[in-house]
Amino acid sequence: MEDLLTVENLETEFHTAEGIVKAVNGISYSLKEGEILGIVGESGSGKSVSVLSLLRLLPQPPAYIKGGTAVFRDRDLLHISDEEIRSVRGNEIAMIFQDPMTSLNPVMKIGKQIGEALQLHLGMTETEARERTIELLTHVGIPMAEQRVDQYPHQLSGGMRQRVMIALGLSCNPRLLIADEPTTALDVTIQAQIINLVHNLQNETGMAVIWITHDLGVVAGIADKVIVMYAGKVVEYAAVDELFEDTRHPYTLGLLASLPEMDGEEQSELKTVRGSPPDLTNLPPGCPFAPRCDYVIDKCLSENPAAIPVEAPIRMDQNNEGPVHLAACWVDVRVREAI
Amino acid sequence: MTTNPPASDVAQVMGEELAGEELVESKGFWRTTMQRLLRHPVGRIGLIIVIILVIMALLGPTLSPYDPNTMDFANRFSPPSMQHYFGTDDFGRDTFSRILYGARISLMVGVIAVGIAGTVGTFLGMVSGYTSRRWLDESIMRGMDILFAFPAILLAIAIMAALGKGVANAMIAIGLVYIPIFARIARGAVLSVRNDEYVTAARALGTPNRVILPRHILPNSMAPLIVEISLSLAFAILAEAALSFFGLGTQPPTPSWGRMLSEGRAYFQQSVWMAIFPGLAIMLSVMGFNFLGDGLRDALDPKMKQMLEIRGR
Repeated sequence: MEDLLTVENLETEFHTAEGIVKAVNGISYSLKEGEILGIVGESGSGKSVSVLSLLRLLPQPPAYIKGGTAVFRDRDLLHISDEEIRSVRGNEIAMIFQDPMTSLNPVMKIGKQIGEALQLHLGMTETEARERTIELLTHVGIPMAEQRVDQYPHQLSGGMRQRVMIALGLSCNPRLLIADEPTTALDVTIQAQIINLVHNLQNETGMAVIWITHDLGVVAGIADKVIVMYAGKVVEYAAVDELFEDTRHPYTLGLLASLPEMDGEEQSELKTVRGSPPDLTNLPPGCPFAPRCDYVIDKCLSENPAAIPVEAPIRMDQNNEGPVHLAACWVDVRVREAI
Repeated sequence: MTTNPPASDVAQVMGEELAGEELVESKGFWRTTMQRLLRHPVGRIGLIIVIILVIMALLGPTLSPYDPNTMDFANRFSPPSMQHYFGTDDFGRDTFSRILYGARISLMVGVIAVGIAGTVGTFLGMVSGYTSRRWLDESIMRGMDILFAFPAILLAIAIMAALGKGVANAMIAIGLVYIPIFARIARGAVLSVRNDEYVTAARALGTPNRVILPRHILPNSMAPLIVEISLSLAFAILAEAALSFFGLGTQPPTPSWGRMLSEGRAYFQQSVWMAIFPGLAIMLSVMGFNFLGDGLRDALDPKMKQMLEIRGR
């Protein structure tokens, strides 16, 4: 299948009073039609900033996209005109946000908010938009949509609001849906419902999805491919089962080790990744993860490794199309030896 | 592809789980605000005064016992009586009728001047707060600072001197003077909501700024602006009275409170009612709009809202 989106060397900075915060430091990845890509990483690893940069949604200043390209259907999103990027937003790439409590306009009826997008991109009349809105709301599992359409966001529960956001995102049949931690603010049971909903809608429409989360469990459940980000860089990239079975980066190992075990010993201590993320205004010359790494060697402190194909991955790409597993580490974690 | 059932089925099954959630009734923004305002002791008084003022302005001609400009030299300087509730002036005109007609002028000048200031000021402030172009923000706000640097009434007099006397020019002058206040308030309100997630969400949907500003930003920045409209009406009425007092605003024989006060001043020793009643009218209406503004500020403030609701129980 064709690549839908190809991001290369994306760099985003924030110019603040404390200095330049290098939030995204040259990340590259590609996404095929209909694929679900999970992006995981801890807070501040640049997950959200990297996707907000794609749609140019960051306030500029202070944000500043320093370099890179993001080719989506033959257009470089980072370099097309404001007018063009606006027609891509919502229409071809839609986005849903973390907190459904704040991502809906509190003084606007939900039907109006969805209708606005339909009228804008699809040129519907108000009556058509209203009918389509009710269809969409029913489709994402909102009961009594005819009544709900005239309600304000505060009259809906969190799960309902996230469904409204999803309906809003899907309203113009986008080719790519970016979900920025859409389940983080929800109860676990509602989380599962939302994940299933997006998964099924994806099966139905064939759209691609970028799912940002810090929850490896969620990624395991939904993604085809996974990017692990650390300090604004891709540290590991692999198909989802590959990542879990044949982890090649110490940071990913640390994340996996820190998952609580269902069948673990009672009262056993939760494992953590020691230390804290680096100061993004003043990144060390070597690998940003080196100070927290159990596998650190001298080279790690002086040279920052690039994400390169790993040796002998378990699986190849289905069509044998080049490397599927990248890791940015000087050490082969399987044998604890320098590459 | 996995073997998940089609989305619509799943959605339906999950929809049934949600069916238990009841529809919550919404009372509506204006209704709740009005209820809170009525529970606010000062706001309630303000509202009553303002309503009386509006009635006076609308029904003045019907309510007034005499024509405000008919002179009656037999009854010059009559003290308040059953024939002339507020007495008569140096031309024998009925002060009560003139005050009723004056309410119309005061309110009209107030509404139009605040209309000018509110529209222009809010627009400039919103652009200034929302734009990412630093130079645009800076040039608008420094322009506002220049206007703001002059004492309001002095600037209004200066503008009147340039434009000439008359009610229409008074409205323009007062309107211009209050533009910076609205610009500052609107800018502040917009700054506090421009990075809210629903604005980013609207931008992520490709909504153009010309839609985002009026439909997403403005309604969410309304509260301080509503309060300022009420407070500015008080200032505008006072400013109109001052301009007319100096002979710059409303021209004779049109009745105006400021002018009546100025005329009454000359006869203060012998017929005190000529100055007292227009003065009271100015004071009460300014007070009314100020009280209303205070009440609205509390009614629209989320923290005070709860207090007023507790008091209401």
